[in-house]
Amino acid sequence: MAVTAGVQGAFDTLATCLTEAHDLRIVALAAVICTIGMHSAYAIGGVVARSPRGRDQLLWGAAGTLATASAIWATHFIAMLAYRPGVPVAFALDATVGSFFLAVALVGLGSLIAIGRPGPGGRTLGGIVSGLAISAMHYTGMAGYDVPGTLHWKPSWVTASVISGVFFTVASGHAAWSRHRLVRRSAGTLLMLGVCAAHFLGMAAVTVTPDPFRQIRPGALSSETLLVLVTNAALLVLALALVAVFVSVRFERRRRAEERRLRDFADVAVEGLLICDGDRIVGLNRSLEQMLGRSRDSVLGRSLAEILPGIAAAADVPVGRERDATVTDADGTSIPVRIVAQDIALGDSAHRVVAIRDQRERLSAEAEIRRLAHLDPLTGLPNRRSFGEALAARLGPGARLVGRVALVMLDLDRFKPINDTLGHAMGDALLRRVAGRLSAALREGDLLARLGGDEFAVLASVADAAEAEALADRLIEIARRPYVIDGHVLEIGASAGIALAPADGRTPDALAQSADIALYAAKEAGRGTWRLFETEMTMRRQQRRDLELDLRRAVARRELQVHYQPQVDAATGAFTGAEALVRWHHAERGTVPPSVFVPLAEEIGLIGEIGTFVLRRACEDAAQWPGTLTVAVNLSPLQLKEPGLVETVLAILGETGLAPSRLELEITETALLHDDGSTIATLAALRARGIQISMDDFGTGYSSLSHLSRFPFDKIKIDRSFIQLAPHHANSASIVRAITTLGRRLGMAVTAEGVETEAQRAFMLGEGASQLQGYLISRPVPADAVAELFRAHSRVETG
Amino acid sequence: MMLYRLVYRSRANLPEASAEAEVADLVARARAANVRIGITGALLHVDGQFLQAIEGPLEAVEALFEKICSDLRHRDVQLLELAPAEERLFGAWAMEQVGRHEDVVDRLPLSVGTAATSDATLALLRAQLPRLQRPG
Ligand SMILES: Cc1cc2nc3c(=O)[nH]c(=O)nc-3n(C[C@H](O)[C@H](O)[C@H](O)COP(=O)(O)O)c2cc1C
Repeated sequence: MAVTAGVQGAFDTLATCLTEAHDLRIVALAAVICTIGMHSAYAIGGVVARSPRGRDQLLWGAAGTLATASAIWATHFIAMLAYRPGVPVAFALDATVGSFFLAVALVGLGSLIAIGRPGPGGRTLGGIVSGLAISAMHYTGMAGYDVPGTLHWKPSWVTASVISGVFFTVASGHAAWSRHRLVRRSAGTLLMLGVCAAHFLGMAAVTVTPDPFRQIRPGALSSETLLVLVTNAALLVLALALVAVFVSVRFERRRRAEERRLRDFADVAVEGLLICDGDRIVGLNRSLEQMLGRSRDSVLGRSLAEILPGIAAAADVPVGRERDATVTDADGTSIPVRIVAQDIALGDSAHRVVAIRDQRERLSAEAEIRRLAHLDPLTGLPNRRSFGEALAARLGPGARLVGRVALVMLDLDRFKPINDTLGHAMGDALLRRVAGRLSAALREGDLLARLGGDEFAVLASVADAAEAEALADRLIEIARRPYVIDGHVLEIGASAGIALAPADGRTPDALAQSADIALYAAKEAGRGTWRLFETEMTMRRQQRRDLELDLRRAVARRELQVHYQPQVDAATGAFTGAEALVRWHHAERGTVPPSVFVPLAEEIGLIGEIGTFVLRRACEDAAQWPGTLTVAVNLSPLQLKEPGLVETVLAILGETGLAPSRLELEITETALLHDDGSTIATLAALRARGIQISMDDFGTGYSSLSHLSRFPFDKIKIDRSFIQLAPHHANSASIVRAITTLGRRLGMAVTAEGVETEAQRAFMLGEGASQLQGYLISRPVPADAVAELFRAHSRVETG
Repeated sequence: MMLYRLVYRSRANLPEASAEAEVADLVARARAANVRIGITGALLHVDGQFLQAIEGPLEAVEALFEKICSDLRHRDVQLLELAPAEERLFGAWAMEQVGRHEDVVDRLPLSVGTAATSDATLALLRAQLPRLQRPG
């Protein structure tokens, strides 16, 4: 009760002091000056804080101090002018001026403390000093208050005055550094309250008792003089305030523009950007908005961990070093990202900017690249590489073999000619169709791949060999069905080799090799079929390899020989010439028959070289023979297809000096099959030079009359198989008869090959054959032997 | 659009017991599918053999024949003919299964690959079309 009454009394006293002892209009003026002054104090303070350290800051600091001190001072004295104690008053000059400088000194000190020692401690201390500046100024000023009377002071009011001045100033100082805008705004008002409280409580503390014996001291300033002084001080405050506000506004505008620039800048960035103040998100750019599918406003103010789960604090994001993370978008989907942080100063505090790069596109591009690296682009099937990986996974170390693994290697037959004649586009379309067909023949779990070209492979789990064979069967059968592409009907076939793990190979390489060998065996067996790997195949393959090697060596070393089988005129028995026959005698193998090594040479591309060798040797040898004896040389179909054959033949004739008319080139019907006209043209060119062309082995194979009619052969050679059956075998006899008749009709000479008996000779003569060749006349003999034979004979004839 | 006709024959690869039912099902599906792509034709299934004629735009014929050739329910597919056609021979039938065993078993064309076989096949298929619906 007593306290309440005391406080009530105090308020009454204060109210009475204000309303009765003061001219309220002037009080209002004081309040305005004080308000402007205190707010400008903080406006200038803001400029000081934002100014770079150095001269500018010092100057602005001094201006701020001056403005604040003069505002306090002016407030005091204007208020004093409003005070009407009922007697004339004057102000001592020294105290009046001294109080101003005291205010400047203490406010300056307080500000220096507050700025020099950042933090609440410095602010409190600075506030106390500045607060004391108000009271110190006030009571110093009051010391110069000259009235014709006595001043009586109430100590409790004085104490209250000093404490409230300090209290409000400290509060104002803290408010100025507050995080909250509104609180910050209130700093000026609090300071103003401090000034006012200190002043008016101080005025309430004093009572004036008029004393007629006291005189106003001379030299004291009259109210009028003071008014001029104070007005000037107030104007100074106003001017400074205006400048401060102006500068502050410009500062603010520049800050806004900078902020906008920063934001625009951030918004054009492709990467997502987050600005964090501590762990709170205070900014983000448009890219991040889009990445998250969230609006700026829904993200601002959230904690970093809500957007970047797993990142507890901004401090966890490494500065300058990227790390992987995920962000959660509006739908709760995790997006893989890479993040990196950077500290920047925004306004007056340090912020951390987190750059967030969306990895989805890169990851999916990488996945696509990985996928492409494993796929055959043409058919979309796994390629050789991924097939190898699958095989390794099934057979590799650590893989458990369940049942058996079958590897089926598949090659298309007759694919190359289609590719060559109908073009690659057609070949590609066909391969795509084949891929589709083969896929249709698979069972669940079988893996089909295109290894390249027209090679495919299937990896399958099978219970036994029969299952693998059934699979190969299906594959071959489905591949062999006709294809209709762009109106073309295409027919191809397929051959397959099967190898089973673990029996035929435990490692991918071994199994693949076995399957390859089996595939080779399937091709050798005539294609269009499959073969299961057998151990002997490896041996046979090896043997063939050895033979191939030996043949290459023999050709390179010119170890092949040419033997000659003489031919005689059927009617006179006189030698007409000989057929050159290639012979290969191998040191260990013995004599290798042409039926073995010629097909091999054709397959491995040696036939051209062998053919040229034989031709040259035959021409050399024949050039030594007497008279017009001819030499017959076989040309393989492959040789005939080689460009430059005519030139080669002519060159050899030129080198050896053999007359073209003494060279006879023998071809078989096979050479004319699928001929697009170029073979016929070659033959015509040779014949035009006087070389004779004969049709060999006639009667076997196609025996097509069309072949005989397409080219004017000089000679037809009847195959030995008919001669050997004739004359007793009626069928053969009539075939021989038909051919001789045909030859006569077409004006072609007819040679009988393989004549071994007198009966055959007689029969052939009877049928009108013009020439005979065979064991009855002579076996094939070496070059010098035939040369000797011919020479001896010509001696007999001429001699 | 140029009209094409394709004739082939093949050997059925179906378990004997359910072959008839499976073929009936196949034809029912084929009919529905063929209507959509403008294919008409007839299929004869007898004695473990298929003889089929399909006609329509080349592209549709090719696509269908490729499907048929990827089908494991038959094998040894032999193309008898692929040729432009003046008119549809089976215009009223998206895919008609024709021929009872006893009607055709002795009349199946024997040799393959020649135009004559194709002609004989077409004649046989045509002769077996349902009489009542055969267009005048
Ligand atoms: C002998 C035989 C004839 C067929 N004829 C047709 C036919 O005319 N039309 C058709 O759509 N499917 C026919 N099919 C079925 C196709 O082969 C294939 O299974 C069918 O088009 C379904 O293919 P989809 O699942 O890719 O659509 C035939 C199948 C066989 C065995």
